[in-house]
Amino acid sequence: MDVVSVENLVKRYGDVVALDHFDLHIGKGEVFGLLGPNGSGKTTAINCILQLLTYDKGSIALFGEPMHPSRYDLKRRIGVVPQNVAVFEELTVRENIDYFCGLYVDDRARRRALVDEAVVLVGLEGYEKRRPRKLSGGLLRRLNIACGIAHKPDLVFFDEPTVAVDPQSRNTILEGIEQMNRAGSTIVYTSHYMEEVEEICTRIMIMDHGRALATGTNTELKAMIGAGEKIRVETPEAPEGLLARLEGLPHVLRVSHRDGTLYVTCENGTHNVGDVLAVLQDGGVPFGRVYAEPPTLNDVFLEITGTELRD
Amino acid sequence: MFNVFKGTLLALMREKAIFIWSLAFPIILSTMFVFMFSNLDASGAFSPIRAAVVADARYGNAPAFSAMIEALSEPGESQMLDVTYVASEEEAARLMRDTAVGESSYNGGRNAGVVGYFAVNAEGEPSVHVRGGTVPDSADNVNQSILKAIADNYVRGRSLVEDVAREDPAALADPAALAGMLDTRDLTEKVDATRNPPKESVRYYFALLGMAALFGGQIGMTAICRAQPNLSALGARRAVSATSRTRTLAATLCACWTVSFACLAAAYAYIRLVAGVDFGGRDAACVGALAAAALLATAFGTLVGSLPKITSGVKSGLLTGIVCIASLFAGLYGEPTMKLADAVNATVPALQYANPATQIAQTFYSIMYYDTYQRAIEHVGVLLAMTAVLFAVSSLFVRRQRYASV
Repeated sequence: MDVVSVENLVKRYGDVVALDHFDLHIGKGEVFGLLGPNGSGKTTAINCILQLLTYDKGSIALFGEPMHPSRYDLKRRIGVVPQNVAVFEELTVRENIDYFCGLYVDDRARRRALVDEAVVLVGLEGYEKRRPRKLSGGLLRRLNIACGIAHKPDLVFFDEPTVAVDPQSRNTILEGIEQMNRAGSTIVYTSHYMEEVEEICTRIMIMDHGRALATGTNTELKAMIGAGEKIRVETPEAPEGLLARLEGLPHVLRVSHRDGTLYVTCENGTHNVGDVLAVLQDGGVPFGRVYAEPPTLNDVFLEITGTELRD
Repeated sequence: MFNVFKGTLLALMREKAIFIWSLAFPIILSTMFVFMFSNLDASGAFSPIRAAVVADARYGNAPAFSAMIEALSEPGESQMLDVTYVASEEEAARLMRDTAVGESSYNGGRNAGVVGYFAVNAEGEPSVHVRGGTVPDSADNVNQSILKAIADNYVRGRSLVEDVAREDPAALADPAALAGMLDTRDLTEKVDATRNPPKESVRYYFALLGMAALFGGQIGMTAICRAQPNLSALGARRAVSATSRTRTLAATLCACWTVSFACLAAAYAYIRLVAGVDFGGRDAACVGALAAAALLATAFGTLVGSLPKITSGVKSGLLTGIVCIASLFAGLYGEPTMKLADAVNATVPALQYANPATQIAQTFYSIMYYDTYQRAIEHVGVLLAMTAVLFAVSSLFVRRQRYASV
């Protein structure tokens, strides 16, 4: 049984199609990544699933049950960490977490224990009596998360939780998400930071213009494109004919030169770096440092859409 | 639900901006009223009338009259005359003329001008001379009448005693009978038409309470903006939670009412205890009226706060503007606006039912001045009806569970 099941969802804002026959299926225990540039429809999809937004067409089921605005029994099992920090400025850290936890849990004694756990999970010990405006951006994001997950939901939606946070907070947040997943929560994680998605997600959907472009594990997605290795070589200039000679090499898919760096995308092969450097040496082209790395999700996105993910 | 109530209450109580309008403003304004109206209520009090007395030989030969003048000039609460003794009628006339109309008005509680003078004629009878012509100052006319009454009273009493002495001299030996003859018993009795004596300044405090109550709408407006998914991220977060929208809104509005009521109660306590405005010992009824006013304010704020597609800054301005206009027609801004409010209410009585500030002020007015609570209950009924209408209209905006966009 899918924890999240979305079929043929269509959402329009006037003439703009925000979700275009969008399908989504997420199984229990997954950390599912929704990856796409800003405006690709990630947040709209989540808001439709949560019944905050009306939609024009399609069906949504959570935990195998049809989702409606008044399905509070289903909502009780869901946690939401919105993209914008949504906490009371006038309440302390602890009061905020207790308030939002109280929207799901009535029992005060149980809530007290849950709030304690949430504070530890997001690393806000020592900040419990502070007001939000006294927190740094990273700590504020952590509070935003604590308010969404304190009631220990079975399914948690994280909408861009690491936007504008420091590396330490980012690591704390990602570790907390992994810890929640190990404890049994299913995670839906949206981001346009592909590194994060690659790091924590067990399955990923690449979205753009309200459509699901590709879905699979990190490995499966990268396997969808031919690229197996990316080579970067610092070369101040590229003499005429160099790019053509490189493109003529076996396994080379694409070659470009910009900003003093030569970019060569190759299929999987054992001598790709050596072959490229040999061409440079033969042509008398001076070069500096050389990097070889496997393709990223950005390459997958580039391959599928023809544009960079961060565009 | 209690959790939502408690959280909203805490958040609102720590929102300083709310208390500027709902609490600090009425306290500051009522403090200003204390100074502004300190002379207003005293203006109807009686001040000794300045008069001249020709203290010549004839006056010296009229010991009964001079004794009466001295008694009426005795400093104290019952002092009626402020006498200047002069040697001749010419001097008295000059004094009266020199302190003519321009000075002859109430001036800081003391009559500045000499409005008349007493003289005793050759027959030993006192006469009073007052300024002639039309005197525009009505208080001056009253003072002249009082001087005449004093002289007439003396002449009447003297004539009576002379008649008795002629007809029944033995009667004069009985002091009680003599006192009974001279007793000028009032034929009319002063009674208050209202439960408490009317005070002009108190109406401004009523209007102030009306304005303070409506400014409490800021509380409802702020809270409802935070509860609406299409108006704030906080609202969206609360909307997707496991607590129903109805319960969330109910608890939020309860918290708003509590804070509004507390602010109004504090302002009322200040007006009552610090400004010294006496509400005729009907404090419990006044607190009940405050509760109804706070409910109206919450409904008013809810409606303004729930208006879609308007920024919170514009809503705040809209609410402030409505409150200021409503307060204008409740007469808050001084005597001209009080007259305007009275004129509007007299000309188009129905309009007062559209002005919540007027209704709140009228509620307190009824509590203070009417013998029964009937009138006050009617006004509270109007307040509750307004509340119902405002909540009904705002429910059109807040009842939605899903939105086309957030």
